[in-house]
Amino acid sequence: MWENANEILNQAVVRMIRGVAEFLPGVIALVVIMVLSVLIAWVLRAMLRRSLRGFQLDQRLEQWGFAGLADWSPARSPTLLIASVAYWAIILLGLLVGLSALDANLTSVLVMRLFAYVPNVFAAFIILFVGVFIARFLARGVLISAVNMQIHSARLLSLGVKWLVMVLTGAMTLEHLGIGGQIVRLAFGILFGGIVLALSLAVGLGSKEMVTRSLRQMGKTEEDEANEYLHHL
Amino acid sequence: MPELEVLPQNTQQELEKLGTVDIALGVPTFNNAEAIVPVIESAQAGLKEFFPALRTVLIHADGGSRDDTVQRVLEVARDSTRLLQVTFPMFPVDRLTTPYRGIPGRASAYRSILTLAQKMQARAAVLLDVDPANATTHSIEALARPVTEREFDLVVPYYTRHKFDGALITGVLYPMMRSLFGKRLRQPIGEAFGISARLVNEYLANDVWNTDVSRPAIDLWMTSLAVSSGFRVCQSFLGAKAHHTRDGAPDVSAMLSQVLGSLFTEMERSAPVWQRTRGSEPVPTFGPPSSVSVDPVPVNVKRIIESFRLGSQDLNEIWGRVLPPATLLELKKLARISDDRFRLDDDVWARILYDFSLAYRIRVIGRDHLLGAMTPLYLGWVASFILQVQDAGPQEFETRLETLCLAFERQKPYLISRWRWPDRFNP
Repeated sequence: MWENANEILNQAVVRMIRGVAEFLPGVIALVVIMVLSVLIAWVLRAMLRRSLRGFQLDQRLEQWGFAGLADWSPARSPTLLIASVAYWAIILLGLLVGLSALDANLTSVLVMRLFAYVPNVFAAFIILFVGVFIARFLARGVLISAVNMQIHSARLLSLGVKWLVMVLTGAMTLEHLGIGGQIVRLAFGILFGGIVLALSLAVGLGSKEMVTRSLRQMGKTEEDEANEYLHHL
Repeated sequence: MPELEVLPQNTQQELEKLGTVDIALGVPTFNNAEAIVPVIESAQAGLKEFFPALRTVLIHADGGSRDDTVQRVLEVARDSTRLLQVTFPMFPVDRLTTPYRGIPGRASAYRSILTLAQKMQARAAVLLDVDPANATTHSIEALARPVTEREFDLVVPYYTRHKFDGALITGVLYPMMRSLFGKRLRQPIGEAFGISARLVNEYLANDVWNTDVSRPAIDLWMTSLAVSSGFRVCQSFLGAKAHHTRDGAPDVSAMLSQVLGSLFTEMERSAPVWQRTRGSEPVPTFGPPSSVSVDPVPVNVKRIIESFRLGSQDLNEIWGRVLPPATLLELKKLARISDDRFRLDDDVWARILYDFSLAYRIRVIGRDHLLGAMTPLYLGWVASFILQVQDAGPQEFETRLETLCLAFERQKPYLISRWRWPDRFNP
């Protein structure tokens, strides 16, 4: 009986050692891959910081109307944000590769799904970037034009236009990421319609003085018009 | 050389028959059937009366009028002055853009006329606007004689105007051009010019004709090129400035954008020249000045001040990207002040224009937006200036204007230092 117990124990230890021996190389590979990833990520982050600072990305983004990006960035620097994103992306990639070295069967499906999702993320990012740029550009243009037309709700109009484009952009981004589905579409429709209604009211109320002036103009003679306006040139 | 579509078909032969001329007088038109006849009659009478011994030609450049402008010119010129009719190219952008003055496609028209003048080796080219009130027989003499007899290269018209008239010239173009290039050209943009053969060649050798710079404000470009390149420039009195009642309410913002856009672009081009210029000197002036009615011109100053206040309220964030804190503070104080004490300091106004020119150069924001954001500031200056000179006589007005121009000259070192070190531009 003791011999049987001993044999079972020995077999268990052997199995355990064999299991560890099979598992250990994967762990060592994972550790090595992670260390390499950290090193590569660290070098890439340093290179990105240097090159983006040389390009003066922070100042240029502010000129292009992306001043808000600084609010989301560490130390208010989009350069640091991009460098950090690249750093953690490399780390994540290294982790995935390391996990696949640990157990190819376990991680292969995960990796496949993740990489299949990457183009959607990329497209969504581009849509978001372009949408924000267009929103800011249009908002600024509407603000200036409305002020020059002496519309008192110029700021509201500008905000409305900006959010109109941002809501559209957000909906398109979420659509690309496959998040939300029907709920997002419904929310978008409600928001968009609400903003359009608010804009219509803003235009109607804010430009009533302009409409009054236009109606008055229709009743004036040419001579009255000539006398009323300065000739700037 | 632009491609010219000539009409009638024998114009090329006419060109060869005409040979060389002394004066080429050009009139650009586009759907101007109502106004063209008196202009052509004045042009012919002017050439006949003042230059009977010289070989002259009248060049009518039309942009494809759909009315009977071309036919009317043929009828009125049929029995007299030698006439060349050409069609200048009218690009789609010219049809879509409303120029602040004159016909659409004016740049193409001028180029066509100057090219023909160059072909005919004209000693003087005179460009007239199709405006019967301002294109008189006297205009022809005033624009051509300084070129033919005194060898000036550019003659710019000088109209007698009401003190509130031409605010953009009074408050922006005259002081800016004076401080930049050192020439006291009272009205640097005009609808008519007298140009020497030398300057015609210089204009045509430049490749700016089809750019966005030249299209809307070709006259400003022509004046600033002549002044910055060292050509001999003078001005001639052409009497009182008349305005069409049909001009209607101007789009101030569009007008300001076109003019300032051209001015700032020209500043970029000629930076090596104006950075070396110090002070200013008068330019020769010909012709007798005429008096102008001092009847009050009704202007709604309150509405102009409200425009400025609205801009101050809503565009302060944009102004903050262009103007330093000290200027912003002055503008905030101005927005809060009562209407009767509304005064914009001359030095502040000069610095505002200089800061905007720099912001235009380094593209702090989109250029269209930048120039649009300038409108309330300009209107603020207009209101301030009107309130200051509303009770002033002609002499007092000129003194006040001189004070304004000296402020621009005084602030020029500010412009130069910011222009040379834009990296330090950080409002």
